[in-house]
Amino acid sequence: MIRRAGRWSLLAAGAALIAAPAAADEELDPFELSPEQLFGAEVISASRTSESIWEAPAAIYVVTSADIERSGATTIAETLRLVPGVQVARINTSGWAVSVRGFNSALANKLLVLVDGRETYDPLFSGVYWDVQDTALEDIDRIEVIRGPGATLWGANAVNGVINIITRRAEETQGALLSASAGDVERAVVTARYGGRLGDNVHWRIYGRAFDRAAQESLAGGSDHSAWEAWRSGLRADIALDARNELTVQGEIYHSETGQMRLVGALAPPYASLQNEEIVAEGGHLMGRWTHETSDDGRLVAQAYFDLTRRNQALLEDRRTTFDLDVQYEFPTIGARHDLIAGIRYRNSADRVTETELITSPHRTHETQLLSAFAQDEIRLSEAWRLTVGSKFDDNDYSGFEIQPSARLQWMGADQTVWASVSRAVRSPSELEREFNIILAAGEIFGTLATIEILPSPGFDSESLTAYELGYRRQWNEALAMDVALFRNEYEDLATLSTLAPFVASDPTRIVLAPILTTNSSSAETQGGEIVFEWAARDNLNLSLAWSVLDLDVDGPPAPLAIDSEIAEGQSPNSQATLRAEWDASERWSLDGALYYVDELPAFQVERYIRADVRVGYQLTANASVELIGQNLFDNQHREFTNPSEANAAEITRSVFGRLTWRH
Amino acid sequence: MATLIRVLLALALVLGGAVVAPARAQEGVRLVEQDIKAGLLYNFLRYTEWPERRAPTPTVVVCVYGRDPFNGRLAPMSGRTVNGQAIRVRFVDAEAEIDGCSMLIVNAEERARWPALRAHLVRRNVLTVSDYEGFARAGGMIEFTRVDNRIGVRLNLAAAQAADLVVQDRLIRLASVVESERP
Repeated sequence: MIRRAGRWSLLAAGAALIAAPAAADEELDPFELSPEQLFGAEVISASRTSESIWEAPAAIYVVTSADIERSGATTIAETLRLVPGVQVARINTSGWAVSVRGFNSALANKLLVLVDGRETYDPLFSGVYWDVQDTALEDIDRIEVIRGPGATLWGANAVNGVINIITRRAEETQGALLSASAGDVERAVVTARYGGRLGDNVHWRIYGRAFDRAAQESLAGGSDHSAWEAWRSGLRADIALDARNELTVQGEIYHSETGQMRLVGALAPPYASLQNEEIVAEGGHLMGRWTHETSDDGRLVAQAYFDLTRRNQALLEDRRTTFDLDVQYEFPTIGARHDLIAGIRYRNSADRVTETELITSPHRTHETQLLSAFAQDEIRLSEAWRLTVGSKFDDNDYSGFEIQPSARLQWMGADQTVWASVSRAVRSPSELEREFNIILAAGEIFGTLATIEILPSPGFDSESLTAYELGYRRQWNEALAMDVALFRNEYEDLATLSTLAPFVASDPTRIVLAPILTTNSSSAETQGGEIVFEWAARDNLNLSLAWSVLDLDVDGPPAPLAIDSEIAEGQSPNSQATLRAEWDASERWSLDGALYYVDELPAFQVERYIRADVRVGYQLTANASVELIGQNLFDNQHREFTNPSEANAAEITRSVFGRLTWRH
Repeated sequence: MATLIRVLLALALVLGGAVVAPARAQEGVRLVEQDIKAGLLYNFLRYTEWPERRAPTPTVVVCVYGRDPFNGRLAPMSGRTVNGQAIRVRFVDAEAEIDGCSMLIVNAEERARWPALRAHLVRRNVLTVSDYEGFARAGGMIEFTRVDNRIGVRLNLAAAQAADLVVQDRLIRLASVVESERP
């Protein structure tokens, strides 16, 4: 019997507290198994994740692999729509604006995204290039999203939230997998993976993935030229060196080509031309992780990776090499009360930018180093009360020494838990802000070249956040779980584009009509919350409702000194809601639906929209399944982000595709 | 047209594979967490030697201190035999009731009571089990752990030996041996 219901992680977590039997894959009698089989048995259910959700004093949401499959999402960015409090706005086929709890932009910089512990943020602009975040989605174990500052355990960019994409271990992805999708926008997506083993101690897998996606509709009608072709290949090996030591090696290489319409400036007439910008990105990384359990129950994890990227766009070409070494130690429980974890980290990121007329820098290469240490103690005050205190200490080349402390208090009852926290987080300056001169527009005045430019701002310092959060989780009964998180974020020293008086510059000789300096002159407050209900309405029917609200209030210096702060306020929606249903209609048929509501974005004149996705799945044989997926069914197209006057403004179209998956 | 061909090709590939490929081989045992732990406890009963009693009893009593941490999955063990004895599972919530137990499973919620329980169990031959972190270091004999998707066991052999219990090699090899924390 093939049961495909994925138990949502919150429900699975809470239900495990109450006597809720989970469905086992086989009807095996554990009392008939040998000890060797039992020690080697794989645990069904995301129970470890579940424990970490239920007991975590933070606003955490886990997207399970079943969620990914049944939502029909085909990219990592799209899977994040499932998460309450996360704003996902699709710009075009290969571009997204993703943020948590506000401050969304195409260059959103307050979010940290990790893949198996490897940071994906680019120090050039302190953000994430979503067109190169991809992997075999079928081999993702889960995506953990923490809303709120995760700064104490992760990086100096984890200001509004942390997204941690965790892939499955090699022993869980043995055998062959082949998945092929074809449709109108998702023209072709193929993933092939094979996993094997060498003896009992080494498990490995290798995969390849390629896709070809169609462009979206430009506002004037016709293609917006954002068609996207990419391929990626990767491997993973998990090696059990002995009972206490394990080594994991992972690597990937990729190549992506896409494009968009862009108004490209120039320093000679006609000063601006509409071009079909080609964006080529390629790279690879290699990572090793060693886990060692000490004889007194401590756990040491050391991880190192090399990451190479090269990105070529009309405005710049950037080649970057990153080396990162991270060592963490979980102390054995001290006095049955203290769970200490501490770590140090060194990161070196160097890039070489090929300049263009419009983007220049006094230095052609930039190297930034970061030395970081953290410590956290989880103190069991009593059976029901837990206090977690910790801090991260960073020393980075741009802003020097920073401290990011955090304190969390939690009370745990039999089927409910309350937590509260106060934390500080910083967003360190990016290379673009500190070192680059960017000419935004050029023209001619009185026969002389005149420009509007953003100057390098060596005085620009880190932005900071103090976050106050409160959360409540309750398992109402076996079938209904609820999770509420409230927050108030106070931001200071936010990046502000402050205009100065015009001056004359040379090389080339020009009048800088509107010189812009990036300063730390704005502050802001956001407050809001998210609530999630998960309901196992029937044995074969799961329903989920998530609703989030956000109120963003920016205090910048008044215009004309600064760019209008109302724009920042109007770039994130005031509310979002998601309603999902997963139904195992019969042994072979499964039906899933999702409704997403996103409120308007006044800054971009984007209207509120409701998006409907449907997936119909049919299990052909024990090994093969076929699915029909429709996305954006209500609307044949709507715009989700960017000003209508922008060259790359596009309407996201309806997408229908079929997918065949075969496993052996 | 290109799309249609792509779909047909993919379909042919997959269906062809489905027809030709043999049935999916069992990839390994997959069980619910509590089932694995229950199975392991049954094996600990099987591969542990209790000291010979003057009057051997026909039953071996497994006691659970606190609420049932197995969500009912241990109950099927009741009535099974191990080493010629019938297993009985009992729920207790007072120290006085744990006389006569051969194995005592302490619910993690009761961890604050463990020091008192341990003191009470001195010189009784009771195999103690729990699944909260630190149990083995605090003198418990079997501590269930979970790393990613596998259940493991921390075995405090010295504590078992102090209670005159001999755990066979077959289980020691599979477990991770730890020592009690020095006070």
